[in-house]
Amino acid sequence: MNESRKDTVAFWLFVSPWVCGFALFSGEPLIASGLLSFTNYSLFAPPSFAGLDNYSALLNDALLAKSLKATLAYTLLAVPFHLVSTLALALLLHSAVVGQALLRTLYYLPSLVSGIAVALLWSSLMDPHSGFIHTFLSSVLGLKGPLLLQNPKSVIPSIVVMDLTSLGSTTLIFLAALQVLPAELFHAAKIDGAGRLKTLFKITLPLLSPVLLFNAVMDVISSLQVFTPAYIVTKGGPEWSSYFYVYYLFRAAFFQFDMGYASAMAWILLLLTFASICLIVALTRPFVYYENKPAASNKGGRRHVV
Amino acid sequence: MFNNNRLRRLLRLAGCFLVILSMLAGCAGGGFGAASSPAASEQAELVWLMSTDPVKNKWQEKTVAEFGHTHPHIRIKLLNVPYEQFDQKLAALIASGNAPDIWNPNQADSGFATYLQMGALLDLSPYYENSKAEMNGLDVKMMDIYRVNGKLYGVPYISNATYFYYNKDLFDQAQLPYPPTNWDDTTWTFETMRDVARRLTLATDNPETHIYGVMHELSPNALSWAFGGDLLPADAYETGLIRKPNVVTAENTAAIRYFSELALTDGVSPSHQALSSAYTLGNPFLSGKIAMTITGGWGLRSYQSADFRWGVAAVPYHEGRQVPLYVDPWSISAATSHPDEAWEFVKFLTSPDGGAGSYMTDVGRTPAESGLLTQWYEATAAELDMDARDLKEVHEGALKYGRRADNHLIAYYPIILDTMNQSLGPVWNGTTSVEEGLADMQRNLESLHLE
Repeated sequence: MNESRKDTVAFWLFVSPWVCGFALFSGEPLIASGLLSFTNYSLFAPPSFAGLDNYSALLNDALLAKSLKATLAYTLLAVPFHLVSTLALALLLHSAVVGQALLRTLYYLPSLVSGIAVALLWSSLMDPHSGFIHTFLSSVLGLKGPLLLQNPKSVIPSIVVMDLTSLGSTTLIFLAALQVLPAELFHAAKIDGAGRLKTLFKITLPLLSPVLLFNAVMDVISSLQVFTPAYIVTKGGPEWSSYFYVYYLFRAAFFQFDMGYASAMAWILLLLTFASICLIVALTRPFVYYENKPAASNKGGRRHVV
Repeated sequence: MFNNNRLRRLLRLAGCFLVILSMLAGCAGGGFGAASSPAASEQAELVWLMSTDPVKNKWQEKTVAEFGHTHPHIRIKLLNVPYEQFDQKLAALIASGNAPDIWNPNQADSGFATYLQMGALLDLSPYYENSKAEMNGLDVKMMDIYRVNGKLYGVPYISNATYFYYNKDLFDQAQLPYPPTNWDDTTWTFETMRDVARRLTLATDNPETHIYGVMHELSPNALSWAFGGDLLPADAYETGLIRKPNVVTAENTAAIRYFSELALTDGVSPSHQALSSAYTLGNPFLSGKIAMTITGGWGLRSYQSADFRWGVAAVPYHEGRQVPLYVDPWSISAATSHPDEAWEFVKFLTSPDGGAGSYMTDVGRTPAESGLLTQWYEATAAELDMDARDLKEVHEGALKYGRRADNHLIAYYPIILDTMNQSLGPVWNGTTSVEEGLADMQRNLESLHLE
């Protein structure tokens, strides 16, 4: 066996656990759900071919419209909130503050808690009788019994706030990106007399734009798939205001046992997610600066660099 | 880089690891246990699925032990699942071919019809026919609830009716007579109840001292039943499936309007949002700040912790009034390997000297077995400080005007109930009209495509 062949064998041996895992746990279910979306399948009887029935039923589904509305409302609020708060946290952790090393460890700890525990924790904090938030608002601001999770108008913002305990991973990406930004640009800006805000908007953010785009795309994907708060805390209510798409999909699959319909919903979500990402990438193209790309590719991005 | 020797060593190590794993897997497969316990192999093992409940769990363990004494050839394996996971867990077990042998299909949110639609329940008719003489205390009408197309799929063991509960202390303070126990008393109407609620309501700025006249714990469909209406089509109760919802009718509109007005215009009931949040602290009736409520027979037990005196009465009269009757059965899996042994256990569970009797005394539910009812009337009336004849009148009226609960008869009921509740949210909050709320419910139910 020559060296090249041995390398090939070693390569496949090393990647085989992932390949097997992907094929069994991602690839196979993906193909299966695609096939099931053209069937009627209840788990308890063999699937029967239904053609495009599941997809055409989605067009007349009043609950689908409600779930899309709730998911869109959440995404539009959660993505900017998450990006701004994680970037702010990363900038804070990047600056030379006392106890920086400790802070950099502590900020990530809440992200280690499971989504279910986080949802229950926030639900308890927002309890209209004994929750900390209620007690604080009523004793300090004199507001009586804010029904944060019981009111259709406040439930989405309340769920978005729950995101505060899962900022770790995105902040980590921002922090890593901040640490490799070219220091000479910041020195030059300082010499030119640029203030902190100007440096932030003219140097830091343009240089971070590819990372911002990456995090925005990841946030959109996870926001479109939001599920846990609805399942654990709100049950999709009140008045459908948190009836998120994936929650509806889950109920179609595991309450109605309509696997064909749920599979069709899953594929529609995949297409919606793909379309959203394409839209974001297209809209942000003029504002994203890639340092290692030829000048022509950065026509828009260069405008923002000092 | 790997050379040939290192690669060979690595593969050898992996091979040894696999051999050890297979040996361990063989041991875990029960080989040792089976060899050392020959008696266990002669026993038929039945899995009895029950939801986790501190009160019921004690009874379950006691029942397993008692049955084991009289039936040494059958071993009952009790499988407890948290209430909120019950339906999903059971569906997963059935779908994977590991269905439990015995369970009460109405135990959690999904009901009998859901599991019947799955084809998961065994026809018990031949077993019942052979045991009729031993089971003669079971009411034929109740048995018929679980008879579908001439086949019997469940044997009832409890019969929870729907009652009107009231806080005697608040009635006494307001110097009002207690509501009647006679369901045919036509002076006790919903309008009378509204008037009484107004007189019992004590409106204050402080939520701690605010007293409300009434609340209800009924589903939207049961509210409609109370006014002679029905949110679901009649054939759904027979087929288990909703082909065409029939939501927007005069009776349904009148019922929903009446109950929404209690909070929105009369101010005699807590607002929908306040009530939803109050449930996080426990049942609001137990707070002692709500004078009247309508709910199922489980209130007889759950309200025992109240620190005030309370009683039961007839649900107010209305033309065509009907109330839910929650009759729970024991069913056997269609896939059981031990149907004869499972039937033995079901007979024990429904026997007045076995599970049915101890369930009544230990858990406090109303028995389906007629031979136990007298004992139940006396024991429960004593706890309520009321005459056993009055309690009998309340219960018999509830049976007379009772109809089989929708959640037991209609498949996928949890999602239907949630659709009804969420659709009516804006109505209860006064942000949309009753007509629009019901029309929205119609559209949403149609979207569930449960036909």
